[in-house]
Amino acid sequence: MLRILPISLFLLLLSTRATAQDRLLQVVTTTSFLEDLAAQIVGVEGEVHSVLPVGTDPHIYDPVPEDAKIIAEADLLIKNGLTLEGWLEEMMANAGKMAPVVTATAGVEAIHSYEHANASDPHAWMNPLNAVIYIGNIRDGLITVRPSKAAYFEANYQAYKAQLEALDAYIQRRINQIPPEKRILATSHDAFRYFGNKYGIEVQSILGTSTEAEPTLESYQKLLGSLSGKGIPAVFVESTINPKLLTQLAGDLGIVVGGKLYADSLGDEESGADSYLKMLRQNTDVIVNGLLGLVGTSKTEDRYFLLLIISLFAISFGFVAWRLRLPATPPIDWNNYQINIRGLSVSYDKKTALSNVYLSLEPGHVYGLIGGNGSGKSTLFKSILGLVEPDSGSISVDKYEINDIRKHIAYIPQKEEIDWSFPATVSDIVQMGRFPHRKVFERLTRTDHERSLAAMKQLGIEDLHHKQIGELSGGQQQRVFIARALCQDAEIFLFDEPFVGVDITTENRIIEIVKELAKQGKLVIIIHHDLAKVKDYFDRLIMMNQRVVAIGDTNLVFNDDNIRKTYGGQLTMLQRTESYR
Amino acid sequence: MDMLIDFFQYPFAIRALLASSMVGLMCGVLGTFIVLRNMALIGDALSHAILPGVVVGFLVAGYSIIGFFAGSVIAGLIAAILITWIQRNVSTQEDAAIGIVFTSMFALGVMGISYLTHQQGVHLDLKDFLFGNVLGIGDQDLWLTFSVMTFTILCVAAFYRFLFITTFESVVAKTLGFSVGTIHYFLMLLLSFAVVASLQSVGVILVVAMLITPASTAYLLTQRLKNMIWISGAVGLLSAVLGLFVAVWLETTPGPAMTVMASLIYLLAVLFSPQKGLLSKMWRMQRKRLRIYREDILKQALRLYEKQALTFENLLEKMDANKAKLRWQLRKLVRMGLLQGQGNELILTESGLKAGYQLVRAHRLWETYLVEKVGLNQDQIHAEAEDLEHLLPEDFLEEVSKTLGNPARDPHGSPIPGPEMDSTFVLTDLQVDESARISFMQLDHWVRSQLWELELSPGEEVQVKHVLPEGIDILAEGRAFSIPSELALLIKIDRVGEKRL
Repeated sequence: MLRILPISLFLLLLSTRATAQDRLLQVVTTTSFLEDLAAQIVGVEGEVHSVLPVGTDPHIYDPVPEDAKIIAEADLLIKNGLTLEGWLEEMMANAGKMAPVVTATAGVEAIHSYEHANASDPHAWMNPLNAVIYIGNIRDGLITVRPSKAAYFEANYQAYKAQLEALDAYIQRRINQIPPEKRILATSHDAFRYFGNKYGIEVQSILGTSTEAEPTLESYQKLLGSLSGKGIPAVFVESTINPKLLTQLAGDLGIVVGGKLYADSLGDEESGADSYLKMLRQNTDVIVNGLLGLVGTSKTEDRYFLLLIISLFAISFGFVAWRLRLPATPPIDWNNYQINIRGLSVSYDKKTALSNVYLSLEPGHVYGLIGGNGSGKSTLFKSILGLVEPDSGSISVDKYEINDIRKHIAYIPQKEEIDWSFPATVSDIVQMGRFPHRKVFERLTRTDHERSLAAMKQLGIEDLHHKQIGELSGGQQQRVFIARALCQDAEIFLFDEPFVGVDITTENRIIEIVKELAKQGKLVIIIHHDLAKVKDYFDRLIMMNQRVVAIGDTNLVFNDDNIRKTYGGQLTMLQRTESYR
Repeated sequence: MDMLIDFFQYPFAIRALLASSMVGLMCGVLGTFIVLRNMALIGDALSHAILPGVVVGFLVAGYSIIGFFAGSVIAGLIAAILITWIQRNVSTQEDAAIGIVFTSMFALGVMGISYLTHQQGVHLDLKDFLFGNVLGIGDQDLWLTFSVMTFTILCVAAFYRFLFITTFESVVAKTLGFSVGTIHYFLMLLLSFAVVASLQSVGVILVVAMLITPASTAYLLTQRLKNMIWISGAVGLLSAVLGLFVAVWLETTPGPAMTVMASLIYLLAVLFSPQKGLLSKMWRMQRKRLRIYREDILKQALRLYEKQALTFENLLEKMDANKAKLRWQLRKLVRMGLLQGQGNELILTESGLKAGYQLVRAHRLWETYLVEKVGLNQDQIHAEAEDLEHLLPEDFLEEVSKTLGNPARDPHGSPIPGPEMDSTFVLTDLQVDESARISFMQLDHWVRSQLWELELSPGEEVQVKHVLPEGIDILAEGRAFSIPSELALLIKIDRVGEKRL
């Protein structure tokens, strides 16, 4: 029994081979013109597929996994050879199973490649007499895989051979119409040397034999040099290669693009070059017409293009300018108004930061804003500044939206929010205060410069005006931003921990300025954490713990009870404050 | 050189030169904001992300510059919007969001190009997009680059204030009511334009170099935004032109050559920038070390001078240093007019004395500060003050003095010299019962030796008791002295109160 099994398996194999004899031959070629040549010989005995679709450049082809499968399942594989299909070798080496391979160029007298001593120019099929050798090889290959149909293949071969010979005669007749001195064919890559050798045409190209090469300035220049003055009327682009370079070349030579040539692939159905015979015929017609100067200038300049860009630019420019304008200030009596915060609630990711805050603030006071970590004092600031969206509630100035008076609110940020290495000088920063007062395209005026100088003088930093901001001491840096706020003509000043990292002299100077501002009828709010100076610094106090614990005259509200409510469990802080008091 | 002249006779070479210089200038100007807004990675992302736009543009319009331009710009904007959206709405790290968006779009583009090659049979060379192809610059590309460059510069000039304030502090810009988002997306749009216009010259991979390298160079060279924009533009232009020359000379691809030139210029700036360069930093550090060394010499010299023993040998012993270095720096002090040499003996000039006492003042003020404000005790302070005295500028020292309430003596009880040292008064100017301090600036050699003998040191407060024809009786630290007239006429004093010590 054990001995019988391999024998029966062998028999089974034989029988499957027998059935294979009857079905259609599966022939796979690498490129589209080989597909056409093979189809002429195979006739009704099989199906021919090309790995590369029509229009694809075989030099730089990158195989996809599907290709390996097609090749592995073929009965016969036909390739051009002469290093055209570099990618195929790799695939064949990796494929386990492999169909018999026909090299179509076997027996062709190869032209050596210009660039590589050992390589040959693969474009042998551009000579129709070489194609006769191709179909001879294809016939032989087919006979090997299906000997029973040898006569059929031979008949197909003879019929097609006759057509190829007729094509050869046609091409020769057409080329002879071109004056000999104009028989120069300039194209993208060296696909036409077999063609040129056969019919006596000088071939010039920019890319060399393979399209893989990068065009260099030198090769372009060389081609330009060798073509100028020759009096040829046209250069030619190829179907598989970006026509830009040759179009450029034509422009530089002051001549036209004579038309599109098909070399590495057949064209599609509309192109008139969808079979091998048609391809060569069409190429010949294009070349002859072009070199006879029968092709007119067809400059396809896209005038619409510039129009399109310019209108795109104008629209985006206008839109940005429109988005950047600021609203006009509503008529508010800056000596007598109220900021009303009503029912303000803010949360971040469902974590409450402020809940139901009611506040009413009046000009002419310095408000201290105190509270523990997470008490919402920064959030309150951000809400007034319009940096966070509240869940509910509103902030208004008299009857107006706070957003309408943004330019009158000055924010003096914490030091660590600033990029101190930014290439800006003191006067650059101070002048920023004037920005909101100018229209979008308005330049800063003389008055603006005077205002900024006055603000710098008021803070004693006018001598530093040309210094980069990172070169200043901590106190000087703080003064720069206060100067900007003064320059801004602000009515409402928001300071975020202004005394962190400044010396005592600057701290005193800042508080002096702040009190002066309040005296002038401005409204100042300062986030502060050092409870020791609260009574000296602020005449009004806001004590926060997610809601308002107390607001009012500092002397009245700054008491133990409120402090305990404000700082809640933060006992260490509480003890510290008690020791201060 | 001949080769260059020869080369630039061809129209395509002129086109390459024009396009490259415009790209250099445009990317330089725009790059300033990319660098300052820390958007280098976004610049890289946008340039890669336009590839699928190129593919779609090709599918719709074929080898057409309109399709190419519109497709790329739209793809760039989609990338920008996607990145910003992910950063705001998804909990993904900011740079990871950029990485995800641009790699996926780039991959889509590569797939698209591969698809076009296979299914449509189109020869779109990926390499041209990646590294540019100056040979392919046509008149249309030239017009495109020109319009984008003009528009970019126009916009930077027109919206300069807004770019400045939103780049520097976006938060403050927002509080003033400026639309920060508009500027952000507008920059993205400009960036997309610039990338598309640069594609032919440098390609998508290297365009980011043209955006950030010249700008980073400019950042090293200036302290003002306006100058940075111009320098960056100029450096970009220079790199592009030099790069093209180098490419012609070495027969290589221009895009990479431009990038290399930009990096070389950057390297030069890193080394030689006047403010931020490595060499100038080293030079400044060396100068500072030598200044500190000279200040130490001056202090030691002052001490020796007070003891009438200022000679080179004594100084060498005190300084405990290399002879040549000491000689070198002493010569420098002589040139600065602080010191004079008389044979073996050295003499401190008036300005030398002043400088020396200012150092003593700094040292003693710092000692006082460390005890009173920092709370160190007396034996810890000397070494600290020894460092601090050299470091801070004079106006800061005066702030320290003010903060301390302008003390007259340091924690060790030594008098602190005053900030002004031009004593115009002498002891005989004083009336009976008037008080004054003996000035530190006793230039007369004989006076110094007399005071040394009397153990009356500079900075002491003295009170006049009697004025007699042959001399003056004074009281200092509870001791009485009789000063003969010829000496009293020469002892310089600082009046208490009138001129602070």
